[in-house]
Amino acid sequence: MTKKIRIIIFILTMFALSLFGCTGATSVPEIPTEEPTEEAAPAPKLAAVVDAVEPNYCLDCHADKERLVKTGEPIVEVKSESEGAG
Amino acid sequence: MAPLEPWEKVLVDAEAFPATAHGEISCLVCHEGVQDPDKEVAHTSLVALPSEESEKYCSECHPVISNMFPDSLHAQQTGYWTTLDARSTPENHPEIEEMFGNHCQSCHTTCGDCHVSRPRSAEGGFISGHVFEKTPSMTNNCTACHGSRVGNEYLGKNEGIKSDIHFRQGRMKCTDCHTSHEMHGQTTGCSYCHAELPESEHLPPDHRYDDNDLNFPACEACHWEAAKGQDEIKMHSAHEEDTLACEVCHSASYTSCDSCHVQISEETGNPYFTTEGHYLTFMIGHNPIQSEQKPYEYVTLRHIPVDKDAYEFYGEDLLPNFDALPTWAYTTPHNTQRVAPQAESCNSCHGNADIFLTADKVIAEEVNANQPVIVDSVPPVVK
Repeated sequence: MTKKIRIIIFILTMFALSLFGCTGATSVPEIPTEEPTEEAAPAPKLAAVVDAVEPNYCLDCHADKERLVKTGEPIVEVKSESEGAG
Repeated sequence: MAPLEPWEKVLVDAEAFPATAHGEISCLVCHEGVQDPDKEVAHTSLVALPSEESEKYCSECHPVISNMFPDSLHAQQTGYWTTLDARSTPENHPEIEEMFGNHCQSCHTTCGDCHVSRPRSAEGGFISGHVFEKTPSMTNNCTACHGSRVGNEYLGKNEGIKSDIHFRQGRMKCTDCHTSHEMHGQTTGCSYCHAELPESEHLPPDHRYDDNDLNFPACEACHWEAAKGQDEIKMHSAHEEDTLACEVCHSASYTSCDSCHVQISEETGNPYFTTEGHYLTFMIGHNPIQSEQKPYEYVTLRHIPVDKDAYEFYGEDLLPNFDALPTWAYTTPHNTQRVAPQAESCNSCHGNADIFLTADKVIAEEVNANQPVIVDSVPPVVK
């Protein structure tokens, strides 16, 4: 196969591919159906749910034993003055 | 139960908690505060114990329970008020209310005290790294409050007395008998949740033995043949039905207490109590709260630590109707034995004066209060 023929085949292939690529974009009118459509999922009731992207500083600290030890309030020992069984 | 270290009390399980339903909710939804790496800023307006306001923070997802729980005994401590009201007068209410707020209210319970943390009266702290437990832990939650009597009895911590057979052999937990209906306060009708059941309405219970609470645990619920004398054990049919409460034969000795006095410390300003006696007893007497659900003539009685002068720190003669209720109270000891010492034979009980509450065993100041429960004569020896 000569170089010229190879180029022609390549151009034709690219042309064919571009045609197929456009097919998907072609709008086809939807046929109405009597099947029930699913209701959209209700929006979460709670005002805020955990956003995986946002940093969670609460968990960062409260899951870190060392940080909790460092930042914890000093223990004030309160001696019970009660006597006998409660 | 050893207290937790401060860090341990607030350490969240970073793997387990986010995988739970509550872990999908932002911390701020329940705890307010601010998302910030600095502790002081993050804790601005922090709500440490959201379930103190369950209607605000829990009801959106748990509307039924949040609606019922505020009327429950755990939330209201109505049992305390039932006895305080009976022994006191409306004129004494301001002093009694002050006393109650300083000393009794610390036993008030929230959702979190059973499902997230140890109760505050046991110094708090997460029980499972902030994972919400549907079933409370027997030792971290239930007996953390109900320890000195019920817990010690059930777990066999009183020297020389075996643990309750339901624990020893059945490995049963508190929640096997004390259902969520009882714990949450079943004030709405069953049909509120169970549409197939007929409509009904229960008033909030006045105390834990209140017949209005249809969900109290009963031995008969499991052992109905024994209760009716329809099993193979002759002792179960030896007495007429409803003569003896199950505990009369099946409980071992249990704890009684004397003379609890409450005060505020002059030195520290903290409330404290002093109880004078704490000892093992086993005492049978008349049933002071005979009812359709508790029809027994004879029951076990426990001396409760009330005293005429219990609240004298707050005022003089605050319990003028002290005799309105017995100081030897109806009790359901939690150390059930298949064969307890008083049930080894007929005459282990009959003729055994040691185990019947006769007038000579009651201190003079309390004889009038205990007239309804005092046994005139010990049942005679069986020949």
